Amino acid sequence: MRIDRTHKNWTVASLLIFGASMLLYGIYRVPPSGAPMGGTALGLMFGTVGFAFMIFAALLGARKRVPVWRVGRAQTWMRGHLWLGLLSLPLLVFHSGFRYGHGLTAVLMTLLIFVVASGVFGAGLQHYMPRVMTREVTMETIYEEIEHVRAQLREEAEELVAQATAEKATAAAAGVAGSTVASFSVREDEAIPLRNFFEQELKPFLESPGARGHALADQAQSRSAFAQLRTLVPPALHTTLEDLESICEEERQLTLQTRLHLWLHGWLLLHIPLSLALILLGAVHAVMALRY
Amino acid sequence: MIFEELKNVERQPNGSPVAADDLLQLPVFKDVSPQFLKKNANATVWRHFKRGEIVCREGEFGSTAFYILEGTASVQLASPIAHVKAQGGPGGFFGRLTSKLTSRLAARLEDRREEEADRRSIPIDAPVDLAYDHPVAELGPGELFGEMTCMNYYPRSATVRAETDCTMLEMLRNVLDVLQKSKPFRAQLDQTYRRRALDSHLRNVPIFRGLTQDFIDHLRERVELLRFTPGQLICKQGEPADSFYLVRLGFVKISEGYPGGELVLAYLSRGDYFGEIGLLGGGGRTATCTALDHVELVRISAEDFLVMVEKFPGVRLGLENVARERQTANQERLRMVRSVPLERFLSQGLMEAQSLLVLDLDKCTRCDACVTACADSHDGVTRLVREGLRFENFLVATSCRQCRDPLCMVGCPVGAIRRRNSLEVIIEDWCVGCGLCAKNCPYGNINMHSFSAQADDHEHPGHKKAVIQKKATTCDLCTEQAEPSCVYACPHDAAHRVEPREFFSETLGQRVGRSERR
Amino acid sequence: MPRTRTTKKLAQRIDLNYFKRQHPLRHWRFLLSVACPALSLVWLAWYGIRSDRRVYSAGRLSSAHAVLTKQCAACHVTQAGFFSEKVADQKCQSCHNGSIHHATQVFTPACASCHTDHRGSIRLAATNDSSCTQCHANLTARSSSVNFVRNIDSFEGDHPEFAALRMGRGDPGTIQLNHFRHLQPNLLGPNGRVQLVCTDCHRPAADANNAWPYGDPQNQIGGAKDVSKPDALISASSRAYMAPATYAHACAACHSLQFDKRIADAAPHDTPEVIHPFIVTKLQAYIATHPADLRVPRDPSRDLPERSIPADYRLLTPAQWVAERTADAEQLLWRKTCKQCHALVFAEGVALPKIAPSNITTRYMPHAKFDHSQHGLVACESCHAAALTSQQSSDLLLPGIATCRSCHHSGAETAESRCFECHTYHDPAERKPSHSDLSVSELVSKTQ
Repeated sequence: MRIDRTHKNWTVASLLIFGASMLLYGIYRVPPSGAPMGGTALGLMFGTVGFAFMIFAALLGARKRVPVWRVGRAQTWMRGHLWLGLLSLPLLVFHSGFRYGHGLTAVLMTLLIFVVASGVFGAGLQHYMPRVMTREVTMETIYEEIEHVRAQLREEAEELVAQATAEKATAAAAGVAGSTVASFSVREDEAIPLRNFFEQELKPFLESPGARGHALADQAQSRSAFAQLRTLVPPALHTTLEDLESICEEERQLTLQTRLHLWLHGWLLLHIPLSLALILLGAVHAVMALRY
Repeated sequence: MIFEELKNVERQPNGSPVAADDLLQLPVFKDVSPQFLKKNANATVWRHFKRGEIVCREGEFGSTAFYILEGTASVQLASPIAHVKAQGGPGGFFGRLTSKLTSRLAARLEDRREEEADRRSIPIDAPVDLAYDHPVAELGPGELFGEMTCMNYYPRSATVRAETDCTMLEMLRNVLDVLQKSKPFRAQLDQTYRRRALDSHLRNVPIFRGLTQDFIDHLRERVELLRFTPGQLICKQGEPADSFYLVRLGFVKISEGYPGGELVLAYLSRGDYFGEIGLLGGGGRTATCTALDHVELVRISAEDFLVMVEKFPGVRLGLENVARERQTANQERLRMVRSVPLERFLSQGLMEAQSLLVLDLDKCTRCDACVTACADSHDGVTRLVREGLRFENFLVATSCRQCRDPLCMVGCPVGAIRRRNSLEVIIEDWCVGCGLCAKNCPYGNINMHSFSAQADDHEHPGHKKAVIQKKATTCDLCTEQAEPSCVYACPHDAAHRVEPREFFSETLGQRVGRSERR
Repeated sequence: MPRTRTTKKLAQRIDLNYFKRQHPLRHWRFLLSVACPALSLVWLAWYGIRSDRRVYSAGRLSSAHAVLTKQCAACHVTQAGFFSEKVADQKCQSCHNGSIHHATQVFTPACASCHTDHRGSIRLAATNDSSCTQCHANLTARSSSVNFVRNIDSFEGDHPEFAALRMGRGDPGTIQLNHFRHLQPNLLGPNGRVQLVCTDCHRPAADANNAWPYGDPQNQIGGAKDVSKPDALISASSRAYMAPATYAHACAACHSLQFDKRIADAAPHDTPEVIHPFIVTKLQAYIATHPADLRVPRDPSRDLPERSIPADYRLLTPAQWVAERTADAEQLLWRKTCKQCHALVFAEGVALPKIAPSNITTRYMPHAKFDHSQHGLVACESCHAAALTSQQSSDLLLPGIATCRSCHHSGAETAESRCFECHTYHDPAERKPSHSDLSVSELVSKTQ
């Protein structure tokens, strides 16, 4: 979510809450008996409110599972998640009286810091990465379908090469007048460089574009390889080469898209599990701290 | 047996070509050149059907027409007469809360939609049209069906089943083409049409609904049946108007010209009408009508019409209302069209769209929440795909664009897909699931989905059985909800349903402004 | 034919059910989302299985209780029927006797409300001021009136001036001592000129038996009784308070109680009732050994005008001689020597005077603790500055609260200024010895 002017209300409200909390904490800072801050009335309030914010933030995941339920727009929930989630950190720090704690509370504080830090990191990524993806990956497709699309690209390349090489030969041999593919007038031997290039470079690249060492994986190298190939084949095949080059470019972009997508979504693998553990342990802490 | 001339018809094997001599013995083939028939010896074959056998099924693709020699066949729509309705869940707090939409089939009785075609009869590719509430009719000897399929390669519009043992001729396009040029055949077709279908066609026109039977009879003999070839102009915008047209066969394109291009208003098919504005007298045609394929029209001249108007003043009022509505709608459209420079949009066809689902790629995190939401609210089948071409930093998603030139409508064999006055696409109850609209949509926005439905079981009359019925589905803009589900569910404020010209004209305007300031 | 990209072509590459399928990212997200909380539960269960509740502890125990780290049940008690397992007062009292502060106090706070443990290695007795000010900021009593200042919120704030100074009555002691004189240089000492310092007379009780530079070893036996009220806190081994300066330790070397030049012994530092027989005895012993002194020659300096000149010498009986000499000695003592320091009261018709009680105060602040040994690094006169200029014994040489506040105030780099530094809530006289039946092996091994 990009944090822009539409967040004004939330930002202002959050700053107000933060300011009020600082004020309250400053006034009632030292508990009478030097007891842990969390057990005082103010500390309990901070703890409850902070935990409530955390639970609301966690409910975003649940909300995403029922996208059509009319329980508030997804954007509202997202903004709430960002701001209230962020606020939970200072509130819980006030709750703890700036003490790191011992045992369970130490673990909780660590988890909280990691969760909020990863969340802030992710928010930053979401600010920045979509623009990068839009700019760099012009031939973007749906991430989950990349393998499927790759398969289709491979087929397309095979077909292009087959059209340009073998079919012409058989058509010429069979002597069928007015065959369906009319635009080539190429001898079989002229297409050999293309076929060789396809077998040796292009096909391996298309089959495992992520593996290292492919010349075609680099845009500059690919361009020069195709330029070289262009000198070796007759002009009639140049459109085929263009298409193949375009396919290579698309492959490279899909590889890039995969990488960018993993960046954009990978941090969630840290954020979500830790936050669930945080909530669970937080609930245990609330119960146990009040018990003892 | 009508045609006593044909001997031993029963002994002709099923599927064997009809000998030219046999054909020439039929009265309808009288004017056909024997050389032609001999040359195209395999173009006509015998067909024998046992009682209960299916001759052709609705929705299938074909390329032949059938001429019944003997026996009777029933023609009907086996698909459930119902439209895809996306509806909210049960009422009450939880129902409103979840707002889960289920897609199911709902008939008109249950779910009345605004501006639904108030048809009483469903136009099909046969001499007779089917009544909406009882879509079964009979065809007998001497009747031809499957013309549209044969001439224009459209899918079969209905299911034909032999009621008794039948003998038919199945012919290819070249034969039918020649037949249609022969006078006796034409005469027979016209007569059949006037007898069986013209009534219902006329009554389908809302303004004619109140006419008495004797007036219909009077008209029946006065109407002219015209044929047009693909691309032929029927009437031009601005010409003096002197007649009213009913479409009997084929597709007619109604378009408006304006500086910069042409705007298609509608594609009319069998049972539709146009030109009523011209009948009010004074003034020219407000649009250009062109035949898209082989078109046959029924023409009512202005004189006959004026008589009708004098006798039934209510008709005139109805006409004037229609005329006024059309005029306002036209003005509106023209105004929209002229407001924004067109070039940029034409390349992607964005110009044609009235409503786009755009995803702001600078905000979209590619999380698929929109797709999941769409699927959730439409029974697990998404109506949108997050793929397509980009315009600046927006992805124009694959989801119905409510095009001004609705190419999806061309070719529907039963005329089920059409637009409302507000130019939204609506798919009527009698969609037979042939998939032509899905093929025609240039953006891939229409998909065919299977629904389980109850249909009449022919093996056990009176009982119903469960069938899988394909119906065409497209983005319905979530009209049941306050806001489209995809827009509602996007957490990053990236999905928007926009009117493209307003939306992008702002962007363009800003860009221009900025560069000028520099 | 060049490749074209149209929306339809792109859209038709996509399988419409792609978003329903499991994909590595989603798969791992789900797995980790289950694994992480599960792991944390397992971690807690691991402690639960071993009945180790220390994971829920808010901090380490104080240094005093650290030995009980594994004995949660020593303090935490499950209240009957309740979920809570908080610390109960009766558990504290199984080892400690937290005696009540005042019989008339309005409420008695729970032990844990002032002494909160699990804050790390702290001093548990170091309570916050608010524990005290919860009453003392606005002091009320249950039945009787309040004898103390009602509104004290902190040492540097509302804490009043010390009572002794506040009354304005001065030192009640009757011994006359001029500190200013005694601190002058070149005083006449037993062996020449001396300069006295504070410690020559004032010492903590524990050091009372060390050698005194100006004391009289002979006179220490049967020395002055300490007539001030015995104080529980001033034990013989205390270094907190200064032992009262006694004649035997501080004065005897310079201020001798010799009463007759013929007799070397000094009078005992005791009541007149004791001195009188002592003098008589000594004189009798002398005259018995020096009968020649019975012949008393005339002292021309004692001739008075208008009186007849006495005989050149008198011959006295021993009893007469003793009586005369006794009267002279007592005249010297009562009117000069003793009087120099004590207040003597002569009653009509009574032979011996009465000496007023000396009223030496050993503790000027009975409700607070003060430890001189903790302040050993400070020069005596830096706090007791008044001593340098005091010429009257009625001067109260106790430093005022302002002197204490120079170091004892709030803030960093200051001395402790919280209430507990000087005052105690619990009466230390009622301290009971801590006792428990925990064995070493129990303390070390079992976690309860």
